[in-house]
Amino acid sequence: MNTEHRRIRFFLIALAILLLSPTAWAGQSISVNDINVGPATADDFVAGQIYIHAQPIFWQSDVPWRITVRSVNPNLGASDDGTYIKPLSDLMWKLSDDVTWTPVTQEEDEVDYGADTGDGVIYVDFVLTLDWLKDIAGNYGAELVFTIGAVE
Amino acid sequence: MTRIHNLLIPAIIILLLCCPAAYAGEDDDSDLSMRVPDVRLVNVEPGSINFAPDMTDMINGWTKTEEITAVVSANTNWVLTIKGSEEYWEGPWQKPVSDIYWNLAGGEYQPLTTQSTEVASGGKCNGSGYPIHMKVELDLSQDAPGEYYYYVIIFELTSP
Repeated sequence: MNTEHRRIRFFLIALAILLLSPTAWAGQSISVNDINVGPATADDFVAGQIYIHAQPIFWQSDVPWRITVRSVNPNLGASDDGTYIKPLSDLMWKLSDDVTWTPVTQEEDEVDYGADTGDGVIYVDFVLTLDWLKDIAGNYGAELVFTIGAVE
Repeated sequence: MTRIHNLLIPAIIILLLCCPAAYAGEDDDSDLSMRVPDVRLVNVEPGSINFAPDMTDMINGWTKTEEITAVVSANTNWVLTIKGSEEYWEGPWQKPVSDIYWNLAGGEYQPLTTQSTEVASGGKCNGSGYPIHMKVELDLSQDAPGEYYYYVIIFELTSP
């Protein structure tokens, strides 16, 4: 076998590996809704938070999957007068049937994963903390990116 | 021909490896937004006072002093005011609102009116307490024994 044949064979094997890899042709999709809460009330401040229950995340995958979340923004925005920047860590998430809250960051955090294929929905709770002494009037929020990928 | 293969094969492999379908997942964005307005909250503790004047009080012309606390929370500037709800008490005779006297934290007593009067003012706070003393002027010729008198006092937290 000459060098040329070896190269062609190597190419075909590499091509076959890539084409047969589940991740190469994974059919996946994800769909989430915008979330608009408030205006915050005195009761919310007394509670120290606004609780956002069970936001659905619809997914579809024909391979084992994992879903991650990250924020595009480094913070939750500025107050109307520009004197206060609400930190991103004031926004936390958890799976609705979990108990542990995780602060939203700009890094991808794994929300859930599964070996089951097809389609489904997971539910995520959010909490926005409120502090009388910090949270002056303003429009606060973040653009959250939910990503579904194949389990490596 | 060999030169073409030398370039073509790595190029195709790199192309496949860089193909979006090979590694990248799908994503969707969720815009999460919340409006925080100016928020002010006042709670009065206790919510009611029961004056029970005895003979000595009747002779002295005053009930004993009672204290209530206005607890203020706000994420902005505020003014706390007090006013009476009606010109007269609810009772067997027209006992005037001005028979109720109040002061803030040992200040000078002043009669209550149906006009809002400033008690205190401030900025951002969380549960700051303002003790308010109250007493009622008694009229031995009018305030008959065994009768009950009721009155509603209104506290408001407003914008300066």
